[in-house]
Amino acid sequence: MTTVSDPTRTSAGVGVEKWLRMYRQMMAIRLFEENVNELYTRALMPGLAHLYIGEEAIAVGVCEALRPDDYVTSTHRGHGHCLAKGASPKLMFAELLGKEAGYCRGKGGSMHIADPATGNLGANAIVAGSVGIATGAALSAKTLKSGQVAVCFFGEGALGQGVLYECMNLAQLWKLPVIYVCENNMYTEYTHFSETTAGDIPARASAFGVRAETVDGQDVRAVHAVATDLADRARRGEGPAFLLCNTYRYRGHHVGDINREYYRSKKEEQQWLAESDPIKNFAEWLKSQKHADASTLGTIDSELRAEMDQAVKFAVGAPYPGADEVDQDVYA
Amino acid sequence: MPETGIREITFAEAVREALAEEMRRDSRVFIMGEDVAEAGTPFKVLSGLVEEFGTARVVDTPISEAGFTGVGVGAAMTGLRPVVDIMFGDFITLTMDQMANQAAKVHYMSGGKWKVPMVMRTTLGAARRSAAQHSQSLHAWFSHIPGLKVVLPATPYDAKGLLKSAIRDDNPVIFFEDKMSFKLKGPVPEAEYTIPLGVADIKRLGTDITLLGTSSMVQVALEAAVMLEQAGISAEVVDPRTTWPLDEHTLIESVKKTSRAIVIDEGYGRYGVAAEIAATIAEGAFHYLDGPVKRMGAMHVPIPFSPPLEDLTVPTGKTVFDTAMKLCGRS
Amino acid sequence: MAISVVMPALELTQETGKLVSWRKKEGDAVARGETLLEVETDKAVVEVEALADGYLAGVKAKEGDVIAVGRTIAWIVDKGEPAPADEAPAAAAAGVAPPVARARASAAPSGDAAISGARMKISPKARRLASELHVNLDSVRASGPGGEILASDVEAAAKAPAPSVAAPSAGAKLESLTAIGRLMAERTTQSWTTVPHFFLVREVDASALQQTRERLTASADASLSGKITHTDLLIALVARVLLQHPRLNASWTRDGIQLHPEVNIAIAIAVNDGVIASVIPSAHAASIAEIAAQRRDLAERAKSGKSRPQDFAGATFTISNLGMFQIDSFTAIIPPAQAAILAVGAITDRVVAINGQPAVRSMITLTLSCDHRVVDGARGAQFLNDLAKAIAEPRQLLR
Ligand SMILES: Cc1ncc(C[n+]2csc(CCOP(=O)(O)OP(=O)(O)O)c2C)c(N)n1
Ligand SMILES: [Mg+2]
Repeated sequence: MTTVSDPTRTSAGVGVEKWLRMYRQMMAIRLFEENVNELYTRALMPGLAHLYIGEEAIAVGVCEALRPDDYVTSTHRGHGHCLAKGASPKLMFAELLGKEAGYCRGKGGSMHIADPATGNLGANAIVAGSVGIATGAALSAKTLKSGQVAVCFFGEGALGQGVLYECMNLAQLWKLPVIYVCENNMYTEYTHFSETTAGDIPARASAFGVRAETVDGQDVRAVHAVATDLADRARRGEGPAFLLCNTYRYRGHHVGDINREYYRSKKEEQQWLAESDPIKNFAEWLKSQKHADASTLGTIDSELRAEMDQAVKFAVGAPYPGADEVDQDVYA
Repeated sequence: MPETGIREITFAEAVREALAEEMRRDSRVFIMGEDVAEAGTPFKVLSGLVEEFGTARVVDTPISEAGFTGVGVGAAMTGLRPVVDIMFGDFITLTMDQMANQAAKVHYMSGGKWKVPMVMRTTLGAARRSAAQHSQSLHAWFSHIPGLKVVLPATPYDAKGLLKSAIRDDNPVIFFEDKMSFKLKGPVPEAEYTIPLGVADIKRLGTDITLLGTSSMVQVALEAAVMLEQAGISAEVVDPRTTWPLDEHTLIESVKKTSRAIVIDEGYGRYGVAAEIAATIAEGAFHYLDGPVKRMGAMHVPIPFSPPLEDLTVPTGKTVFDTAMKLCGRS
Repeated sequence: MAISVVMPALELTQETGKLVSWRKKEGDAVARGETLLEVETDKAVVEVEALADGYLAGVKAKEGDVIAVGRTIAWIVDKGEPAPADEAPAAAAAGVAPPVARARASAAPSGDAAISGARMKISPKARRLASELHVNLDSVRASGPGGEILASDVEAAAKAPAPSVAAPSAGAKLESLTAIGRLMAERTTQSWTTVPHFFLVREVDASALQQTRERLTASADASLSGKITHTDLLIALVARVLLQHPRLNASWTRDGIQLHPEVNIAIAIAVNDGVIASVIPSAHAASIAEIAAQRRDLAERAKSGKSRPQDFAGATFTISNLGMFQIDSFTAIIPPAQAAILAVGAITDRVVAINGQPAVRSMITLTLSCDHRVVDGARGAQFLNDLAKAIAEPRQLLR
């Protein structure tokens, strides 16, 4: 059942507008994360910041294949998933700074952004913590015949958690519309995945009969094509899928993870940056296909920069929640 | 403690020294956990150990807490002495069956025939803006289970001496380290020593009120004691150091002397360690109490991310001071 | 053989007793029947006698201690014999425990000194200190944050000169309280402030009662060595009527209403310092002669200050008669752990209407005080009604 996605499928049925939208979304994530990096290093952002830079094509490729009401679950490295599913940078920054205007009234922070309006069931700071949630959402979709699909994003570190296999088994037994998207960026925190992962990854899913695909996670067109297939299939009632996306995080595990040589080399990093930047490569493709010229893309970039500046300003100036907020929302 | 051969080291260094010394002393001792080897854990507590002992004894694992904890139990039963590293105390939830149903019960269920000489090292404590899933202090969960011992060191000295005892203990012992204490410095003798499990330590002598602090809250209690001294109230600070075994005698005697007590523990205030210690005091020192035994713990809410909110949820020197003043009829 | 000296249990609901003084000290020779110590219960200060000949040893309690009933406080040993280390089982120990089942026998011993403090806010330490320092909690100023008495308040009260409620005016003499006086104050305050009282008044024709008394006194019955009083007759009648009204022979407890199988009638006896209530146990079964004899003994001992512990033990109902003081009627305060008290006035000739015609009859006014938690108006009235009938025809019940 393991297939490597066919690059010839990548353009089918997608118009220019949609391509440009994907570009915009990827660039939005990139710029958002660069602002996070700055906010964090300027000590304006508390906690930890896990940046998604380098992995943008996955979130965008998958989410652009989804309906607005489809569900996603996310991870500690979740800003990209949230933005790709339609979150507002303004409200995200506010949340990241712990402000009352944020998505979770400041109580969740970077690792816990949730937004029902965009189908976002929540980012999760427990590795594999949302596998059950996503699978349960798929059960609801099937039971309620809503036609929705649930996408569960997780890093390859989650492959170590037993709950993933328990849920994949259930999902296949019950033919649930859920797609498990494994972002293999090759490292957990500071350990290469080969030291923690035995055997063939997609084979773990196909062992249950779950449809397994592998795709170049740096190629948004490829990701989008296969995600579209899998989502359609799930919506048709044909059951769950597992999508392995090979990718690379360009920065540290979190912003403070600066000296990385003890677990990965500078050379390796530079090679990924030079050859596999999903945004750069996609921009080249857009230009080569005459879908856009440099100035079109430049306009998008500067619009986004202005939007991010605005959003950051809003968040920095926003007030913290009042003390009486602390024991609100513990119970429904 | 003799004056000679004492230097100041950090809490993290004390933990590291204890592990290194025990690993040198006993070749069956090994460490297992996520990012423990080259990374030396995200808190860098174990830095340097893999260089000395190699990857066969400082073992990186997949992110499989239930799995490698269970492996630890089995290895402990059959000749090794594992130190299992759970990066954040919040993740003990994933190990619960292995700890509560397996490790804790094997010795009893086998009529004393199998032993589980295993240590689980993990963390507790909020105040790092790590939000609800990385800030909890769940030591009450293990303290509730017969068959497990639970250690809560508060100083570098205690951390080293208690960890060495934990490793030598033939029972499953969970060793909770406060994330905020790793950089805390304190005197630690160069010479070998151990501290037995189940012996409380009086961290400061006083006569008017007993502040019973555990782990992270010992420093908070000491801070409050300094403030109280300025207000003319002499506070005794007692650190049980282990929730099980619990040195009831020392706690009760202190309160008999002072007749007032506040128990400060970073776990959730309700149904927790503070409640258990408060009940122990209420039973043992009832006729000596001049006021209710107060519990102070984490507020009964998931720890919020937003800094001004998070700061409200954990006792501080100021809130302990205020509570003590009130209890002493001074506010 | 060593015999333990225990803190005697003297009351239905008594949990502790306070050791007022030792009359003997460690090593002293004691003879059976000699007074060994004085104990203060809820009701009175009583002398406890030695139960055997021997030497006092192993004294574990000191004066002022409040001790759980049944707890060994010393031993009487043979010459040279060491005092046993272990406590003898309480029941086997002394035989001074009353035959009545105690309402809260299983209650844990408590260190409470003054029962009157039971409802005030007071820290456990302050409560303990109050008993150790003989401080009456009623007189202590509370300084706790919630208005509770703290240890420092008790210590201050212990150091302060004798407490007084109002500042005495110049020349006013302060009469210090005797033990009995203080107990009376505490017990009545507690009852009056915590028991919901209500009162039923009934005038009863006492002619038959007078006739019966005269007849019995005049009779040549050899067993009657003295006069029979109205009180004796009333004790006998009340006890017999109470058998039909168990709710009036009962105690309020937190867990429910305790109905007592025996009727132990206490009679209030005026003594120098106040009032004490001596008990005629199983009065429902005792003959009038037995009652009269017992009542005389009790009164003599009370007035000469020689009451024994068992004289106060186990009362379930109290009769207070002020007839001899020419009181027509009065209301009485219910003793703790009882459901009612009967206040009896003087027998006087009064004009009453009989069949529409004025007539002169010997009348007596009975006032029943009831604890409304245990007895309601109808129940109390039925009891008074039956009692009135019994007084009208005493022979029915007295054979
Ligand atoms: C159950 C659990 N164990 C450990 C951690 C600590 N932790 C946080 S992120 C991380 C690495 C996750 O690696 P991966 O799943 O590959 O995601 P990536 O960070 O590479 O995106 C670990 C071990 C955790 N959050 N949850
Ligand atoms: Mg990874």
